[in-house]
Amino acid sequence: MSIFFGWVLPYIVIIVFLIGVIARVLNWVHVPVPFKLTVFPSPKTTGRAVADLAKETVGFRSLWRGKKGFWFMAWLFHFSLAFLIIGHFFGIVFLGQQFTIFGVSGEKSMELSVFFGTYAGAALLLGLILLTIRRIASPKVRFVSSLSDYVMLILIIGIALSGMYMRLFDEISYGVVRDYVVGLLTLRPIQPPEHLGFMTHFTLVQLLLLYFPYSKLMHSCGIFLSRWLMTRPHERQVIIK
Amino acid sequence: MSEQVRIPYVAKDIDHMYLNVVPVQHRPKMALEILGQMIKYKRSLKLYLDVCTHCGACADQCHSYLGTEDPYNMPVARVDLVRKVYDKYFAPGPSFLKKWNGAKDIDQETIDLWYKYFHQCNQCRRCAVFCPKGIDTAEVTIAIRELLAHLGLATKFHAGITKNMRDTGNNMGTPLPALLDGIEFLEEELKEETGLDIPIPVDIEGAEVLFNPSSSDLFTNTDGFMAVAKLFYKAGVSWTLSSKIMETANFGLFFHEPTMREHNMRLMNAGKELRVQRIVAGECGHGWRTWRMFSDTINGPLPFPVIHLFEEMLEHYKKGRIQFDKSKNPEVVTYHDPCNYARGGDLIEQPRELLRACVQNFVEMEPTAQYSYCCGGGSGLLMDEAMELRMALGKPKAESVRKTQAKILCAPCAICKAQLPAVMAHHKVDVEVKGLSDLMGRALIL
Repeated sequence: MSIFFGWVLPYIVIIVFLIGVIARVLNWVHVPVPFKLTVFPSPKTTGRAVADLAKETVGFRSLWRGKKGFWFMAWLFHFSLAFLIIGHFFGIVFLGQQFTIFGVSGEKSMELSVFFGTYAGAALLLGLILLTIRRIASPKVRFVSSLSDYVMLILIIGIALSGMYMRLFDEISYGVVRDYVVGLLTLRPIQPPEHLGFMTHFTLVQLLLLYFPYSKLMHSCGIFLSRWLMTRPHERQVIIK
Repeated sequence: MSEQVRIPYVAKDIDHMYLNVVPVQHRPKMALEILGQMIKYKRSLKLYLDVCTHCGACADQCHSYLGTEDPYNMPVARVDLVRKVYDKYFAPGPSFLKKWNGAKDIDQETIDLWYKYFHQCNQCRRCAVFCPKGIDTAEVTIAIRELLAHLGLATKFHAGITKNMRDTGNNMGTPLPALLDGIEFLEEELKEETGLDIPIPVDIEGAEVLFNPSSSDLFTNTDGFMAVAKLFYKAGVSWTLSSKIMETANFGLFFHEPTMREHNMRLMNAGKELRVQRIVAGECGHGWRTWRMFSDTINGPLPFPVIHLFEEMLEHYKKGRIQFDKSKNPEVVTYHDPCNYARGGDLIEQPRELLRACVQNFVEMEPTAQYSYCCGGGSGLLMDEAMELRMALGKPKAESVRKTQAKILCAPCAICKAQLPAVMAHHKVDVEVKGLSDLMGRALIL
């Protein structure tokens, strides 16, 4: 069993995920845009339009214009998720020593790594729980929800919970994870860690990635294309003598 | 409610668009074929069907949902009617995952729901402003209405208007002699009112400006149209109308792209034939969007710019060629942003500058500019039989206007002008609806 989850599944996941996502993005890019669909007021130059897109994707300005409570939930969730993904990368690659670059001691760096990870994880869970409550409690949102919307929430809550479980009750050393992941990536897989928390966390993430290209999670890529349709600058042709 | 929005009874109603009435049993299959084609040439449609996360941020922003309280009128639910079918037949992935996404077979009932709910969307694009992914339901509505038209399910009203346009060059279906007669009458009126010989020229080759009015202005909102003649006269601009097209509305945009292209081409060709230096569009929201945003794609590159009456007049005002006497408009005036001016066509500041120049008391309503609610008549939902629906759709706008306590509601769009008086009367808001040219005409110092 652990051979399947630890050795075989990761390769299937990477292939399905990469091919699936790239194929869908290419699919979008290959469809033409016959008419200019700018929604005004819009930026006048390409530079401004890119800045606009960045503000929107980082700060969720559109949601801010609507209900501020929902903006908070969505932004908290996405921000802590992005923070955690980056944190996982640096934490595992540098084994928690990433903050020594700012001149702190190795021990302190590890402490900081744990500190940020724990609080970002808690923020992620809080965001997720708020979003779940909203989806169930609001009759409007419940009306438009499909099974996949709930599956997605449950999956990500599972990932966050198993992560927090490891962090609080059953820690795994960064080194073990790094050796295992590096083994996978260099095509010289080693025995997966005998660690229930980690294997649960890792497997749930893989399930999510498998689901990714066929789900609404594609909005993470599509948002750049769909927002560009409405923000791209449109040159004016007015000339009155 | 959609039973109110009538389907043509006979094939000849839609014959002029080269459309046919498709037998009921063939509709689902044909609908799938057309949808499959559309997602290959409309990136917007494909993206919007793919990237929605069902977050529901659009629900409270849609005047259609706020007015009717029908859950299918939430933009997300409306598009989901199509998304479910798209997921089933066109989205990638294993079928059990598609089922989780809500994938659904297409049947006659689906098509009925499409017909009903895509005729309760005003294509106002307000949802696009509040959607974090920028999903513009108007694009989906336009596509699905076109799909329905190919199944023979265009509304009788829209089909009739496009036929009028094709036959006579205006939406009212007024033949040329009657138009010329009306214009002559308006010239006499102008003479009586001002004592000056203010011309309303038709088909003058080499004129500087080809002005394209809303045909309804020639008969029902004549003050606004006469004001335009006065403004051009005072600014000293040589201008002309074209006998080929006297209609700045373009109903093709709402449901039939070939018709939209054809009307666009008709105006651009009229401009080329008369060798004008620019085309000036009159007061019409969605028409302006097609001229402003689509002309280049359809006919470009153009030998002349297409601009709006407000841009033209603002320029003359700034150069000092025309002056206004504010005291002629002492009432409290508020401004309704037609959706296709503000969100659709980059006309937000220009009309406000003109208003501030020609009225004494201008108040903004809330929400305003690109956040403004639609009048409820957008996308050509002006049919009498849909009156009950139209009044529901106009409710959020009526409340916005009520709060301003204005006496005059300036709504410079032919559809808004047709819809708003009925809405205001129905919701008991005591206000008079006028175009911006009316107000400019009243204040103009001749």
